[in-house]
Amino acid sequence: MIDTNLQTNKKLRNALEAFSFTGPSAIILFCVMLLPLILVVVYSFFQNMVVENSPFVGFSNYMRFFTDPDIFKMVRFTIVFTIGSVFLHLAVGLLLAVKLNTNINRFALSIFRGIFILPWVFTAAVVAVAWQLILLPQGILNSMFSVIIGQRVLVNWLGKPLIAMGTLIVVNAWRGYPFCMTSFLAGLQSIPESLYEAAQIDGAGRSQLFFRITLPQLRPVILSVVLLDAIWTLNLFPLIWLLTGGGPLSATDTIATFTYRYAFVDYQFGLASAAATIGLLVTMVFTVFYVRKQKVD
Amino acid sequence: MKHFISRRVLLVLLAIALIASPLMAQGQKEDESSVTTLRFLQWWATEGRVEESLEGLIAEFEAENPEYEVELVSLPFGETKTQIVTNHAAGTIADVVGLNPPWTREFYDLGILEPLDDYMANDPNFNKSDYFGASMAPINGKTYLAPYNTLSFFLYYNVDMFEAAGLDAPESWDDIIMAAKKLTDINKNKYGFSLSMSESAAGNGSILSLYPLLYAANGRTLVDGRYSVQTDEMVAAMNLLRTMSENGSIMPGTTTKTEPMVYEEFSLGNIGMMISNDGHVATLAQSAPDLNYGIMPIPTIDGSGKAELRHHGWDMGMPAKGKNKDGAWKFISFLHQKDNMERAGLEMMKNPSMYGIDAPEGASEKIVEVKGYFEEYAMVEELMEMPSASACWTELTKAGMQIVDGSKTVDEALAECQKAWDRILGQ
Repeated sequence: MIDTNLQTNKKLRNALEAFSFTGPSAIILFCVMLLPLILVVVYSFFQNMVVENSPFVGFSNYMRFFTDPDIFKMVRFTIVFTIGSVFLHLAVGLLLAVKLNTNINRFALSIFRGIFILPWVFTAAVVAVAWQLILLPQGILNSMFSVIIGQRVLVNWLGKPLIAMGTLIVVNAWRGYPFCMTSFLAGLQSIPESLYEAAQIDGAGRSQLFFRITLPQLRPVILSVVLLDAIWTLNLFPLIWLLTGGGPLSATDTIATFTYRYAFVDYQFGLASAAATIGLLVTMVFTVFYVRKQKVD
Repeated sequence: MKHFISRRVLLVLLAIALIASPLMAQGQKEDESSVTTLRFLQWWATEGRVEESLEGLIAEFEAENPEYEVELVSLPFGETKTQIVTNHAAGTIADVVGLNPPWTREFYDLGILEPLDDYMANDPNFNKSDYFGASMAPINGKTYLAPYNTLSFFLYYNVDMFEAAGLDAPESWDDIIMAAKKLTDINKNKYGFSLSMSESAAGNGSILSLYPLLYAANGRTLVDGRYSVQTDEMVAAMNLLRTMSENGSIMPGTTTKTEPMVYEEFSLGNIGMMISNDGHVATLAQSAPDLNYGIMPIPTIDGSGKAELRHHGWDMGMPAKGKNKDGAWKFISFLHQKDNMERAGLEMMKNPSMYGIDAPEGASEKIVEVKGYFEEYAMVEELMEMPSASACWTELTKAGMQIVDGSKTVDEALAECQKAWDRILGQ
């Protein structure tokens, strides 16, 4: 009897001890992360939570979201932008990582690493202002083309729907490749040198070394980076808002700019919450893949 | 053992200190509790001279009313609007807020604003009839704005460029088209006209350029109880932009440039004409003191009759969820005393919204000129009473973009905009 009590007490003490360690973090996580998410989902079922006594409207905000006249443009750009950005991040990141993983002078190598990582260092606001100055019709890029061609070039890089879509992908690729590059570089440095040596003894060329050893060895890193990058790109807001505001003519709208516009231009917070919930669901699909992949690894 | 005791003593002392410090702080707080802090959220003080002026006035208010202190919270123009809405939702809104008339109806619909009629009626120092009427228009019979500075939209023109081209100030829209064409020299980066039609800015194209043109043509958007863009005057305004665009007289980048960028190009002497509010008289005095420019009401379409001005204001309001409403009104009332308004007008280089205040001695020639226009021309403010105003003017900006870049005809773009307005307004 005494033994059972002692055991129960010990179990209780262990549980309390475990809770005392994890409890504060769990409470903070719940308040800071989970509670706002739950509230956004709840708000999406009310007309406009900012207004007092806002009525419950069921799925009406979701219906309004899916029947928005600009939704097709938003979905189109979100897909194109995410695929384009992730592809360019991957390609540029991999290329530069391979180039930086060579045995050249260590001092020169650290300088190049510093330079290549620069776009990642600046905040989105700085990047947006800098690129605006570059891309304006009277900006640096057109001036360069004017000098090369010998006549005045006045392309409005952010002012025409199709051109603006392409331009935003390039700007985002510039801003985002350093993350991929550093991840790939870490992955490359963990590939055993003996694999390359063995392959070279077997007569493998440079391209065979890359496609048969480097890429397969990097695959786990590439998959993780692609999933993370897709999640971040889907949710990207400040760069797009500051450069184009989702325009021209909603051509560069993503679910993030849509949500912001509903909330702070139209003041439809119920509708904004519905859009945010849809965004959350889409992001969760990628998150599930990512978490699964991490478990497998 | 000795060591153990000293640690215990230390712990006890620490515990006493921990318990005593909040109590001491509480005592200190009780001493200070007689002073109430009023928070004034606005964008005005992002302009250097305005900040100095406000700080001086606040110091005097605090000296006269020792029970209050005023905290000046300054944010950029667009950010101020967003913060007012989010702070209202969070219940942390300031006691006094700076307001722009087009925000009023939207804030009213969200329940953000407190009606000011009772405060105005019970204040012997405040007389509604002392103020320009444009900001005092009631919404459902109640007043929500206390007008402070009045601004309007004018045609700015570069006098040196006009003189070099042998041109006089335009008297009709045909004159504007002709002058814009003559002033344009692409190789020298000189353009006759520039405007902002960007969707990214808080206050974008249509309210900066299209509404001023519409009112200059004596047009309205509220016609027979329905908001409409398919009016003769709006079509004429869009045709003016289309013609200048086709002539190559508008500086490229209309769809991406924000208002400050247009202003910057004008201050550099690269633009012959722009439409902007007279608030830029003060900024040009600082950033481009040598720029030889003129400011005039936008002419009517054919130069006959009298144009009207699009009103713009720096006004004040009181949030419904404000915690110190009496103090807030006391502060608003202090700023609205005639001598304080006169002083602020001179220091801020703005025209106060009060009748009977002459342009102050020492005011710039342009301010005096603008003051004269306010007395001579009628000012129009429709957006103040328009529901979902910002969503609607953004749609009008999109129509303007399509017309300037030639992707739609004037009729097509306005029909599409009208459809969007009908959907947004449920009319």
